[in-house]
Amino acid sequence: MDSGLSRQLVTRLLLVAPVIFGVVTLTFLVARVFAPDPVALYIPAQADEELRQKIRAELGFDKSIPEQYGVFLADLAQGDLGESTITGRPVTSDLWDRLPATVELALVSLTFAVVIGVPLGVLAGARRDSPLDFSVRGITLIGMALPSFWLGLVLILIFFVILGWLPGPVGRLPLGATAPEKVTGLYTLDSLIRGDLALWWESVRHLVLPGLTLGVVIVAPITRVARASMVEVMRSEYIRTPKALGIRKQVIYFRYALKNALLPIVTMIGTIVGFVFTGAVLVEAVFNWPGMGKYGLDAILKSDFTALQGFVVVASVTYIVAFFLVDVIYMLIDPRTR
Amino acid sequence: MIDMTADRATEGGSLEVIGPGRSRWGKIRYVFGQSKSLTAGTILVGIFILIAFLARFITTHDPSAVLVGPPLSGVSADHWFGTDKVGSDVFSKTIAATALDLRITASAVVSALVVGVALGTIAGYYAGMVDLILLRLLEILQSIPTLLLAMMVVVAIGPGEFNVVVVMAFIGMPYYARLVRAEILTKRTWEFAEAARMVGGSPIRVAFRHLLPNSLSPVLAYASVNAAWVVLVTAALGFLGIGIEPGTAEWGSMIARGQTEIITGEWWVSVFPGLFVLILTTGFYLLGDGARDVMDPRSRK
Amino acid sequence: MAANLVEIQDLEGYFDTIGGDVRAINGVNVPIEEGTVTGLVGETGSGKTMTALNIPRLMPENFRYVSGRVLFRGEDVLTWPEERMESFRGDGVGIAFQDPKAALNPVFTVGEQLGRALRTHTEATKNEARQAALRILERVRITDPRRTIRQYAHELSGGMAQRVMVALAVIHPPKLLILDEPTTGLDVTVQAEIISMLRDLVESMGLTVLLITHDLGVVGELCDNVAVMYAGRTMEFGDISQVFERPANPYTRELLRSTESVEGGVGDLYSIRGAPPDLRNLPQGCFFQDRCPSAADICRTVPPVVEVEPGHMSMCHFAERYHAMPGPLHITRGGPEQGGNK
Repeated sequence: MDSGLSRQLVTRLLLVAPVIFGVVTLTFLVARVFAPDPVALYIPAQADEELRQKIRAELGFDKSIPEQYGVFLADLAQGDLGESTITGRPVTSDLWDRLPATVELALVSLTFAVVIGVPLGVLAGARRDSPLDFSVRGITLIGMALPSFWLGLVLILIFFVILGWLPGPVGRLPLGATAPEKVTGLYTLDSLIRGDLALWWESVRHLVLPGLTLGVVIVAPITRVARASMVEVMRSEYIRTPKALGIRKQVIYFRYALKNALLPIVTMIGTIVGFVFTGAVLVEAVFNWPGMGKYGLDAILKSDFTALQGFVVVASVTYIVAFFLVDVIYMLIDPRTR
Repeated sequence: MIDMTADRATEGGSLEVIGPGRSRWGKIRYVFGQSKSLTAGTILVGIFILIAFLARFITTHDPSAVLVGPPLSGVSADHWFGTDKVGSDVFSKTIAATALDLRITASAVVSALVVGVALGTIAGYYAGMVDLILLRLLEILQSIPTLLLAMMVVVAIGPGEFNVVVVMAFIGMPYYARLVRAEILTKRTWEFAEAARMVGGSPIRVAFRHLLPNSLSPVLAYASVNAAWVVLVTAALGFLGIGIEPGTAEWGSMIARGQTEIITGEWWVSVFPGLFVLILTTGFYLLGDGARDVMDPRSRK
Repeated sequence: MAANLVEIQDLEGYFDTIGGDVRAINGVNVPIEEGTVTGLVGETGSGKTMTALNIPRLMPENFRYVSGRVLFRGEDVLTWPEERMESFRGDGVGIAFQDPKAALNPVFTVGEQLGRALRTHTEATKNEARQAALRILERVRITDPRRTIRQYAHELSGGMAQRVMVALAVIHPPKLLILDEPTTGLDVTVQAEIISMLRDLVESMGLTVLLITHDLGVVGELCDNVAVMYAGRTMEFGDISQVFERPANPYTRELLRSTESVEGGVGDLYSIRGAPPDLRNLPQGCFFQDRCPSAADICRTVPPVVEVEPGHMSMCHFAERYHAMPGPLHITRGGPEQGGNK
């Protein structure tokens, strides 16, 4: 990496910092200012005021909002996101435990979406207005319009209820099964490491439907961006040049044009990485998948604002980091941005 | 530039090429002829608007009544979409929910558009400090995954139709602002402004009367994409049980209500409202695609 | 006279656009003799590039043929299947496009693009391709080929980009090389360098060239034959001494006159009055009638193509009369090393 490149990266990192700060502040505001009295979660409504005050003081809610904000920031700086009201454990360890489930789901769906979406979009864009292009446009349009939670239910209906091929929405393993010893936390890997093929097969079967649901939801935008970007590139003069040199079509599409068309595709994949690692709330909810999204959702439904706040902070930082990585990839792909 | 007047002609301006010779009806027909997506989208969304207005005459049963038929009875002549576990008619509820979802969508999109466009115009026109601050604020807002933000804010301010609209508008607004800002910053629009300033227009007047109208095409194309998003997220909030007050006929909450029935095989409770979400959203996306086809002359042959 | 490598015959076509048919090509006849440099000259919008793009068949999708043939060694390339065109491009015909900075791919190095161009038509290994790339860059007079080979288009100056563009087109020498406005947009000194480089390159590689330009000076420097185009028609064709010294077409005369006034630098700047016709709404008969000093009623009928002397054609009702007139001027005919007609 040359010095110009690293200097640019540092500049971008500096630009990222205020955004993270803003996100954290906004999250705090929404969680503390608008939220109902968090003390109500701990004790019954009829408890006397004295007890309430005591608990408030214990939790630090007796301080003014700016003071609370100061404490929150100080804790955050040390990587402390507070304690969950519901689980009674630090939010960071809760999230850490749930990370592997989310990662496993994210990897499967992302692989599915990129492997199918990018080539399909590239071909459709390269052969604009061909029958392939029309089908791709039509199918991805419907894909964009599909509510993910409903798609999950329909897939459960077909593959579990009607056909009986795959398990129902019970999470990562059959009810009652013990999880493999934690090495990576990914059941499909850990079961193999332990050499338990039966367990491996079960973990794969449980992964198929949620992975497919999330995959279908994210393959549509990736395909559409790949197509649109290709259409734009195929019109350019620098694509006519290799054509005039007699270079074969497939080579032009996948060696030349794809690299030119890659920037918007990478941006979209970056957005989606941010989405699947944090925002796959709905799919995790439908399949009872014990990931970070489900944790965030439970926090919302049970008014656990410390947990919610911690989750949103982590989610947003993931998002911002994903975009930062996109910037880095930009610089690697396009010599003009260096 | 390649030496060809001919090719430049193919890139000719957008709507002005329709020419003055056509009647208004002729122009409308011409625009729709340009894009099958636009036609299909208009028809789909139009049907839903009709359903919303005529809901009262379409429903076969009282949508809020229970036990209008045996609970969880399947699709039949009497109950076209079957009944749910309290014996409500799924068809009537789905139809009744159309009005609610469309009302939310329309209010949210219009509010987001108005506020976003105003902010974007100001940011684009004044540039400098105002622009920088607004842009950072919008960026912060956009750095939080949208569904999460919606969930968080709705839980914070409480459920209800009005609150959902506020949240949707709040989240949608930055995109309009950025679009308008980017458009206004292009040189093309500045030329209009220069011309207007020469004849002595006030700055704000110049911004809103001259810059804005020349920057609206992408905003309008985006509005239908935004509408699709609002429909989906409203349904998602309903599904999670945190959007509209519980008990209201809303597609998302209807799907949630049928979640357990899916497992036991009574699929109709969830499937039909979901289909409505899917079709309406598809309609909005088609509309967005079509609008872009028509407005961007380069996307045409 | 050597055989024609390429012959464009009675080519006619238009662009199908939302604003109506744009009649870009309305009867083009250009023979390209093997081993010669043929100029295609005319104002912007006269259809020069569109004419040339018919040979490798790289016309925009909305181009529709009305009539005509594009013969390559006697075979009509317009009838060939697309697969045959693919191997024909770059081997049978190559192009150095106008505006090379836009025509070079921004995200690949010069070396990568040159290598791929060679390896498409030969069995060269990567290393051989690299050597060939260095050699060809030297021949287009790039001062430091080892450096340039690693550079990207945005790092090149206009003149260097033009040289790289030419290198790309000839690293595997095509039977016919099309040079599209090779000197446009460059400094006068760079223009001169490019012209001298091209002259040597054509000479030493024995290339057949179709050179597109709006600059009659460049035609004088490099060409053996010239076709003059106007509103998608070839108005005149002949070897350059015939056309420059005894033009048989009023348009050529006007064009020469406007060039003369620029090059001579004396007197008023002369330009042809009026503007080229709208390609969506062409006049009946001769397209030049509105601007022609000797337009008459008869010009509302399509003028015949008259062979005023062997190999010298003019599309004008008054071709013979113009041909009989004394030559208007003496255009620069290049240096003494220029071989004239081979």
